[in-house]
Amino acid sequence: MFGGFSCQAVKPYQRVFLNDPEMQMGSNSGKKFEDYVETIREGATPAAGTKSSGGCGCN
Amino acid sequence: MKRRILLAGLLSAFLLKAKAQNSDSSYQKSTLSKTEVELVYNHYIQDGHNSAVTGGIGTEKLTVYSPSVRIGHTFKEYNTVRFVGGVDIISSASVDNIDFVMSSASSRDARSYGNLNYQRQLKKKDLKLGIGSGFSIESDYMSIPILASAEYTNPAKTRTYSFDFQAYYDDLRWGRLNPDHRRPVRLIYPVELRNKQWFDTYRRDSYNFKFGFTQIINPRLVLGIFPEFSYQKGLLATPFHRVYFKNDSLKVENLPGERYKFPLSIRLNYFMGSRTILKMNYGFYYDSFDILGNSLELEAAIKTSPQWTVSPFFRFYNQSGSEYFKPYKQHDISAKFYTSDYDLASFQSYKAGINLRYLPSAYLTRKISFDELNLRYGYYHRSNGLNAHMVTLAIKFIREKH
Repeated sequence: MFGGFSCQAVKPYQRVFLNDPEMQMGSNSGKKFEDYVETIREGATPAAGTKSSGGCGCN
Repeated sequence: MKRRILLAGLLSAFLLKAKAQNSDSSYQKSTLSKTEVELVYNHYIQDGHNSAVTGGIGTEKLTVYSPSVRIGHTFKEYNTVRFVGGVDIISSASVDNIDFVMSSASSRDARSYGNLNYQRQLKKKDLKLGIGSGFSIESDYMSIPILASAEYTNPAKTRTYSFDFQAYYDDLRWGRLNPDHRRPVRLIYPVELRNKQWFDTYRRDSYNFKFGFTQIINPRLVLGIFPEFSYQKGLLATPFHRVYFKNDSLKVENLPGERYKFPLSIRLNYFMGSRTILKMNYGFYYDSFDILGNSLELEAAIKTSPQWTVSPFFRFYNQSGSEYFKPYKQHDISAKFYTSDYDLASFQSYKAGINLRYLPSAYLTRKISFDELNLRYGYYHRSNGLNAHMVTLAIKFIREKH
């Protein structure tokens, strides 16, 4: 499906798919909130999760 | 024909969105300043029957109302200031069981937080440097973060390296929001355990070192690898968590004074065909409490039109619990460290939901545009009986000065 993992040079005009908002690695606000909940409700901390602040989360 | 229309729509959406992204600057109109404002409301409802406040039994019923705002302001092309602020209003049945009366973190508590970051892109170099700080405060907790970041993009814009350092300095004393004190006074223990001081320290320090690597594999595929290392020291137990032992004695939860964490995340985003993006996220986690976690999240973002995207998602998580965890009345009195907090137990969790994204890019005035709307719902189920509903509504506006 991914056609191998060798990297290709990508010209600016080939970036229409790569620049789509859904292709970005960042998370939207809803996903960030879910990451925060999972940080509290699970023993694990998700890597690359965006933690906007500290907090007890002890309820 | 339909496909061509969709591609044309995608292209136009891209051209409009390009302003809001770190994409190739040669495709952007020169902008003097840009301000993004996102208004967010999160709603969280939880229920379960393993509250750590009552030693692993009792209700975990909880509702959180969480409005927040995210503001990003880019000026002189290379400078960006970001602010995130909000409040979590927490309505909790379990916290009432600390002392059964309205006292500390009562049945209704609140966490207020704010973070300010400044990021600068060095001229003629694809290097961005950032610093930041902020606060998070609730009745029995105060956290001060210090943040630093660096991100490098190669000249071909196919690869990025990033590094984030976060330090959190926390104080677990209660009293700041109490009208009789207005200052940190003491740790809050369960009411029947206030005859002694259980801990010598009230501080918790956390240091996170986050690394990031993203690589464009081909015009449709992006890979991201995010290893991380965290170190915590100080009071890592929660002082109002009860632990009941086999011999019916009762103590305050006790955990080691240090914790090391090793999370790793691998992400793949693949644009399949002309309207579907598949996202895969695998997460690995191990820490010095002996917790081992693996997660797999899959999302399919389906563009039903150039403006609308529907994204069903599913996540599975498996955790082998901490050696310090045992259920209610299962701990041996000779144990050095002990907790009945089910967040540290062995379990599986499942999350499923849907995200609706609307990208109108509609100009409300000559300078202000309604950029994006997101509505997201997730249902969370943990194999030990905890269930939660999570809803997010986010609306983003952009103001540009050319």
